[in-house]
Amino acid sequence: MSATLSEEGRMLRESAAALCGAEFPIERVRAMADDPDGVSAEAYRALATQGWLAILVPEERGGLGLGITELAIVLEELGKALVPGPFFSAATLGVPAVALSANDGLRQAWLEDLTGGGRRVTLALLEDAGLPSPGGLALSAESAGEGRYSLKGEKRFVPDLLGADGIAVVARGRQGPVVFLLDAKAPGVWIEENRSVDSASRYGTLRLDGVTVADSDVLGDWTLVERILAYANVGIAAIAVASAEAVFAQVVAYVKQRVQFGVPIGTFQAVQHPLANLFGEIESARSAYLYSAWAVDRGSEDQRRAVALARLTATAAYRHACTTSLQAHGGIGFTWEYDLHLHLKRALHLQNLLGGAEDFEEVIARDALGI
Amino acid sequence: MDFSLSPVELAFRDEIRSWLQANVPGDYGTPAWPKPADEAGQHAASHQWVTKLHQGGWGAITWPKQYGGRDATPTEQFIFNDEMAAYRTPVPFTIIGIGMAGPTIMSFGTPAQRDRYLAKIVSGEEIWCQGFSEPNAGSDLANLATSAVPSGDHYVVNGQKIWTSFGPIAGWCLLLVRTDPVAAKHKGLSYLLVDMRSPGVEIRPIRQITGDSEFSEIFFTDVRVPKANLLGPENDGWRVAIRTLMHERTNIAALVYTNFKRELRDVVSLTKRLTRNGRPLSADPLVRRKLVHFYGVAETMRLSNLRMRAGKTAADDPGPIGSIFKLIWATSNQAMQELAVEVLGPYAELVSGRDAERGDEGAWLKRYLRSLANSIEGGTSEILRNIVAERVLGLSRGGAKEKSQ
Repeated sequence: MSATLSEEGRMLRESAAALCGAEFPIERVRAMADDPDGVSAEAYRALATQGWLAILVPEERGGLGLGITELAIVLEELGKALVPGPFFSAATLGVPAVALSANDGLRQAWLEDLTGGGRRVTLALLEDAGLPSPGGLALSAESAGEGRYSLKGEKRFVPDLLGADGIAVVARGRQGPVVFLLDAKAPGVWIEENRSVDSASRYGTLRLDGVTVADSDVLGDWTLVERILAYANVGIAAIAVASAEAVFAQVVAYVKQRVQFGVPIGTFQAVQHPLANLFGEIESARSAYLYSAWAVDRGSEDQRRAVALARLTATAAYRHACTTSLQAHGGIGFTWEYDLHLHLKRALHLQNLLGGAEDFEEVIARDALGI
Repeated sequence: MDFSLSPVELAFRDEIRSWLQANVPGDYGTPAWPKPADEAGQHAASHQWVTKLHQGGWGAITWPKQYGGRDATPTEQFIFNDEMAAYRTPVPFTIIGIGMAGPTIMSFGTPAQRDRYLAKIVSGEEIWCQGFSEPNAGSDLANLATSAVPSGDHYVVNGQKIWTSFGPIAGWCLLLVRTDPVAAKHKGLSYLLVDMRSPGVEIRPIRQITGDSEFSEIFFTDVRVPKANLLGPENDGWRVAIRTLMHERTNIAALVYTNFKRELRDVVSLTKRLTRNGRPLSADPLVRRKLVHFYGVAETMRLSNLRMRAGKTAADDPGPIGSIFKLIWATSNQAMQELAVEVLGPYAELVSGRDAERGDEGAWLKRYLRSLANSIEGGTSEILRNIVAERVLGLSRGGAKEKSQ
């Protein structure tokens, strides 16, 4: 057992922190959030040129051959800096959906462009608020003969849908779920963007009115969906834990310098004790997150429950960090001008991204408690 | 972080696992391993269990080999506790001796003191208790008033200690006393090893709200303690006591996890057994959500323990971060016991009659009542939050005139 970071991990953390410091100061982050495109193309390219989109791609397929442990370190740094844009969905969902696919043709057609940042893929999975079960998908792939299918139905809460070049759509096939990669500009594809209260996060609604796809467009089945969701959920936990730590460090600094009654308010136990509780909650969430990354990379048999616990504890800790901080700040924490609300809204967004608390609680109830 | 167990740690885990399989008949308090109804019988059961652990080489695993231990690392200590969590076993009454007295004597004792005490602690032959808290020195421990006045080659001790576990069965006591009444309050303390059979020692068990008596008051009236029983320098007892409390923190971090995991297993079984409207309560969405939360507490305590211990040796202070385990455990165990009595409803309070069986004759209500002490014993939750605030977050103390310890 070792608590030290790998050499790759250490280098990734340094370069990601350096890039965030140089390219994503908070004024620019705020400006990008107000941008109709969510993030300027050059900002996404700045991330892509670092090679980070290829972290999860196996070496024999032209990638770095590292794990979610390493990608999560990059996501921690981007999360802390509130960097907007589709890097998260591209790196944890789009790239591995193609890179881990057994479909050689699709990999050859897409992968290099995806890891280079020239094109981008997202995942269309949810149809309503919760995570669908493999048997509960409504969007269907009806056979249209000769290895062709017609996709009909709707997907909601698709991350970063607008501007994606390809969409990995999870459809109900005759023998279970099938993941098709379709061109976002194909006839019959209808896209509506949903701006969010978290102005840096973009969802889209997707309607497919009989979009024709073929066997050659199949990326994989539910196994592929589970694999990339595991990556994404560890990624969400990473963003949430690191951001919670950043919010926490800021509020601890604030209560040391904010003076009332002639003393820093951090000397009052009424202020100290909620922060002490929060410290315990964030530390617990970091333990759950680090373990989930390790379990996924190792293919450990308890990885499903480990990921579910990391998602639950990390996103809850992030939200509690924000609300506890808001109270400790008093009125200033409630203003638009102060940055805290950017974190609070990101925390609220992450709690429901790609599934809500109930989905992950059920995984634990069944897998870990046998109830 | 790499959570893989090393080959040595894996071998250690397999060894304790198979030893437990061979030596534990089942959960203590079930037909497989019945719990005697009377106190004497329970002491005998605890003694047998302690002897068995000792003979198996598991009595004091964190101790150096030369004193009968196995030089287990903090990680191995936790693995041991995690394996023990699979079973309910009698409370070993050696825990203060092995967890606190022994390590403190190793750090501060003279060769003669080590020779005299350590072997009998490991074997369970001599049981130890801790005389720290007093009626006016609880959270503010250094405020203690029990005095030790030199008289030839002895000290004469007068005063009162309280909240002492194992008082009536302990042969020896770790006693923190004031030897300099004039010095600043942390400066005038000394640490004595006191024979509980000395004339003038009187033990009065305290009856708790549960009806049990786990703790005692100890009264010292002109008790003569040989100066040879001073541990560490005179008037430097506070430093020695801090060492004892450091060991207590490491032990507590592992013990509360073991305890919580066992309790969670019982509460889950209870909700599976009870039904409402023909469905087990474990199928109720609100009950499920709470159980999942408690699972999360148990699992994150496990993982945080592993993080805290990775790469550490037995001599390392886990630091104030160890304080959060006790804090989280107290809050969570109280909430979990509350869930148990909630799902039982009025059955929880029944102690007799056929209907009392559902709530195990009031046992669940008693567990709930017992849990209310969790946030007081071994450092109140308020003091633990102060420690985190002062020493982890670097927030300075406010109203109190001195630091928390």
